[in-house]
Amino acid sequence: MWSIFWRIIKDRRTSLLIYCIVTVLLLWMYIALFPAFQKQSASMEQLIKGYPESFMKAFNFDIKSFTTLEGFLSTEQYSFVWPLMVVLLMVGYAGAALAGEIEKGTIEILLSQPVSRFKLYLSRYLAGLFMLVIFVSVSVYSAIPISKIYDINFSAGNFNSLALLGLMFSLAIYSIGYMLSAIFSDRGKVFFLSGGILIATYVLNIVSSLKDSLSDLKYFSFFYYFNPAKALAHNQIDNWSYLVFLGLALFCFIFGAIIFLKKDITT
Amino acid sequence: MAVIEVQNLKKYFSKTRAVDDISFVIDKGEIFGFLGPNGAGKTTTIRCMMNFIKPTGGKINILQKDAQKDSEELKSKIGFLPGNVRLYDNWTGADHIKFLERINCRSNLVQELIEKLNFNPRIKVKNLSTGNKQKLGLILALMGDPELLILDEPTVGLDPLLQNQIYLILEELQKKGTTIFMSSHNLSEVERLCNRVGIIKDGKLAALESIGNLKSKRMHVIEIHFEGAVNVNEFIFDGVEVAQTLHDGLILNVKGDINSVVKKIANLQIKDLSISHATLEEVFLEFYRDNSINQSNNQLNQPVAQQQKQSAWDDLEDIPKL
Repeated sequence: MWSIFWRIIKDRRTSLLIYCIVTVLLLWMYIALFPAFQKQSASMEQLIKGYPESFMKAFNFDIKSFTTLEGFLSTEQYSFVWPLMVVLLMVGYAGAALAGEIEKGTIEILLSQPVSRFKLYLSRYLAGLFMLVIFVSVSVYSAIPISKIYDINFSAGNFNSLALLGLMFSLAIYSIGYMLSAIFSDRGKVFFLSGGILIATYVLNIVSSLKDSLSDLKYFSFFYYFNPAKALAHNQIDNWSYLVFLGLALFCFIFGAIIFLKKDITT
Repeated sequence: MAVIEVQNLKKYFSKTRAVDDISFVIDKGEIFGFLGPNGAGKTTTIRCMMNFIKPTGGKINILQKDAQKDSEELKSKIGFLPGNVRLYDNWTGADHIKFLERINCRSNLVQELIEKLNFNPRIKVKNLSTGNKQKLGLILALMGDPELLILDEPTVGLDPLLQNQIYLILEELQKKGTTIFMSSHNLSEVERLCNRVGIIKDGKLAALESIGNLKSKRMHVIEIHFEGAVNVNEFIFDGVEVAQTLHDGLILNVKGDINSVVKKIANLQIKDLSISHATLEEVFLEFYRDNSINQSNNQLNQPVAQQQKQSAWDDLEDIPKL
């Protein structure tokens, strides 16, 4: 099982490295820009106060968005660009991990070896999880040394909350993709459905913030439970976020495993 | 000792009966050829044996273990070559070999196979020719010196010299006691290597017989050159087909007992006579004419033990009608 695990890490190390470098460079850019924004924080605060509350909620703007590094990063980096990178990295991997192997026919090499289907499923899941932990750690904690370079004050503990929230969020997205990869034998379907689900829930979150009568829809949105501003700027994670993300990840992992163990695999 | 026991195997994909109630037994050290055209059910049967797909009904035992329940354990004893072998494009041959070595912990024959097949393991798969990919697939299947080899079209894409090399390797493995189950379209290959064949058509087993029996019992080709004129109609009776009319004679395809034809010929003045067994190819094609094979199947679908005692071809009534 671990042979499969390490082989995947070896195969994926370049793409993981590229994602990590890109996220660090983006983070560096935002941190480098932050002092300039901070100097004009008073006028930025005035500007933000002029925005409708629903707009602030929809796009995770916070009053601290331009006054503290944590607020600034949570708005600029972790609310949109970072989730997008996680989706691309993890759904891309999830689609290739099972459905991609079936589509290309290479799964027959694995299935003909003395490894149970569950171990095959688990080893590939764990490899994705390992990459996820690396990416989340690098993309969150690299902010600390970069901030020190620019002599910017920050609260290190808040980054732990963000890392935990980000990890749970990414795990849930990854698990959805992985489950779909176990169900389908075609990467295209996995990407299309995963992307569709995420876009639909993202739109749902925005729509629910814009109109009071639709506000209850937010509970069905994935992104309602992902509030990086709260985690990074206020060091808080809602209990519902734990429940939704971890519950969803567990459900998808188990359901995907059941399907993968039972399905006929024809290439 | 039976290495593979397939009993009443069925695999349906919704309404399509890909494999429909087939049974056979393969003994230790045997090379068994599984013949049939595309879509006949060969690969589906192999996939059931490898537990890639779950049978709709029936049972498969391999090395006295359940091919579905004990699949993980069994695969350490099975070398498998899929049809149209698909490999990881960005890996080299050596990467594939090392990967399977780590999983299987067995690679006794790697070096020997690399040398015999003249394979360069340092080239990435995406740069390999079809034949070289097939060589790598074979190395991966054979390298662990398995007790059972399941090969789906093992020599497809290989040149005749390499095909011959593969035959020698397989014959060598057979001498060491390895059992080989191979599907093939290449009838000369089956004729050369296999002890027995199963012929599958539309998911049903149309024949299960030793190569020798299949050829000798099934068909003869008789070429007769007469001294004088002969009425062709004299040779039109059950089991005899006039394949060709020559200027002074006939070529007959005779199925089953040739005595009646020989007696008929004995009453005539002949210049020359030759009687030969039909090639396996001719026999194979015979099965794939558009005729009913139900009669054969009824007998072949009997329990395996009974099949072993009674050849499906002992009774000429079982011969598919032309």
